[in-house]
Amino acid sequence: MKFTQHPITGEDDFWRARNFLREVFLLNDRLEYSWHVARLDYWRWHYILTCNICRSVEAGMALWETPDGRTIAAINHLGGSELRLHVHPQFYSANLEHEMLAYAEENYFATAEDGRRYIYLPIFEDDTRRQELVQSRGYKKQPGWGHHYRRDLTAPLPVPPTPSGYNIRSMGDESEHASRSWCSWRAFHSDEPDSNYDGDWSWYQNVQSAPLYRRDLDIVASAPDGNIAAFCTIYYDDYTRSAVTVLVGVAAEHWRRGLGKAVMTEGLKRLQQLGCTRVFSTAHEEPANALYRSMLKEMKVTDTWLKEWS
Amino acid sequence: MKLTLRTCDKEDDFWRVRNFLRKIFLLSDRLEFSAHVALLDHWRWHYIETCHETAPFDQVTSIWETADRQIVAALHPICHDEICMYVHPRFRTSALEDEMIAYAEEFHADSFEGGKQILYATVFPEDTQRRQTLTRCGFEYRRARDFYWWRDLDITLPDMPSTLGYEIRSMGTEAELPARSWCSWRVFHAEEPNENYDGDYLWYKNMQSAPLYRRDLDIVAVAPNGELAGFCTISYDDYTRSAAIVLEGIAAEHRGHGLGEALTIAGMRQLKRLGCTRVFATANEESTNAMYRLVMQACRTADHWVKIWTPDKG
Repeated sequence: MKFTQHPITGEDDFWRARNFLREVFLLNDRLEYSWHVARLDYWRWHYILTCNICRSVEAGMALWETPDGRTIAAINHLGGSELRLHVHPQFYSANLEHEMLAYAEENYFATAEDGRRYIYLPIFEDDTRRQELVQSRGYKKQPGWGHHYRRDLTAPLPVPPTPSGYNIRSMGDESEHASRSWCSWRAFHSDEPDSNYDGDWSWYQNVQSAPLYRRDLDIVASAPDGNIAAFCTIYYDDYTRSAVTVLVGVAAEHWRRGLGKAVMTEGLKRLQQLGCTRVFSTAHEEPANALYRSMLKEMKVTDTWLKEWS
Repeated sequence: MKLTLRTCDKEDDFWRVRNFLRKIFLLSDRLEFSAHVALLDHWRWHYIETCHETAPFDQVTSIWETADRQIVAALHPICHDEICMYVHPRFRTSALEDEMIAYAEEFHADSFEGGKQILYATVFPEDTQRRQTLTRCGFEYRRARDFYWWRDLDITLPDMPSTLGYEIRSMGTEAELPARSWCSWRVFHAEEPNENYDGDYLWYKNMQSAPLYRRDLDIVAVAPNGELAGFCTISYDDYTRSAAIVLEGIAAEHRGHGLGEALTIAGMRQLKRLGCTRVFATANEESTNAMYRLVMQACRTADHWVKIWTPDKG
């Protein structure tokens, strides 16, 4: 079958891509061989709107369609030439993936200081089919991993003790955005001087604008002084009955008190009440890895595959 | 095609019916020929969990499936004598609808005076096939009573009316549940003595357990004295990019201030930010209808079709 390919053009295309990801996710037994729709939302409302990894959704994603307009594959990048491939399993073929990668190599590459072009993507360590395919295009495995954790929520959850003096609750109203933003700074930039913090919390309003955002799944721990000490922001998709923790962090001055576990547990408990049966978290660094290892049951590893050329 | 009828006896079935409704909603150009998924949620988490209008969903919901387990139709009662039927447009035949009605008559009819049975369904006048099916099965037309409003959100929204002294905001935390519940009482039971109110606000937690519930779409009006004066609770489905207002009301002592309009417009603004492109609301009485006439774009009326019969004793 002949497929047509085009970049996302307009709002309707984006929303069709969202539902395409949902269908593919179910067909893949809700394993992350393609993106969870929550990751697409986070890509648009955080990586693009806040981090400006590319100038627009249109510049960052392309679709493949059948002659009757059905989406069968999509590719996007996370800036810095990092790719994600999403392929409908019934339409998979090596030719299609070659075509997608060729498109990415032409449109989504980055350029290193020495002028060489590069592009890379994560591949599950057990996905030999894709590994062989990218190898045939000159990709090489590099150091760098992603740990993709998941937990089925059909069994009762452990109940860790709430750290003394902290209140685990939903995120408050707009008056709390400054505190929430500062907590993120202290969670992810604690090695930087505080003077580097720009005090702009508009990024958080972008996170809240995503279609899957729900304030009652945006869990925070407030410290005895009322400031936010930790957070676990979850996007839940009730179509696939699955969720992703898109932001989890604890401010440096509140580390090692079990707060990460406490906010995550509360989030998982609330997900269960809403009918969610599986939750995902991804770690690329050790503190997050340790937290997810303690909370989530299963894990798949991705390796990084890089192609460089002149 | 041979279809299999069975009862939805597993939790998973309920969620499959939800996604089935979403698909046929899109195939019906997002008009309410079948229910919006938000209304199925409201049936389960309010009509069943709180009002006990029917037995639990897994005892009263039936589906018709193809050999490869694709749902093509679903049926359940919504209260003691009313049924909802959902049929995939590509599989819709008179034979299937006849079978569904026969099944409903056998399992979902209620007792009526004189040892008779009663069953009714709501049907849009333009749904000729359903009307013909019901006529053939002995149902009779009753005058229209239900108004189905909608508005597309990609056109300019109406201006927000002034609500001097009242604050329009999202529903608060659990501490606000008693006030929210009391407000509902003053909306829907204003003519009853206040001592009839039982003070139980746990029903509201059921509302908040529905999968589409979002507190930022549960809009309330707060009076100058701090009490809740009105509410507009909206369920948004980002799969179909559409939403339904599932509960809306103004406490009797706060009516006449434009609060209903303000709450609905505030909800629409929030929906628009989340990518919603169409919102629905249903009115069964004139005051609500008048308010939706101000803020919505189009309306269809639905008729009731009723059958009352003496059961065959044989």
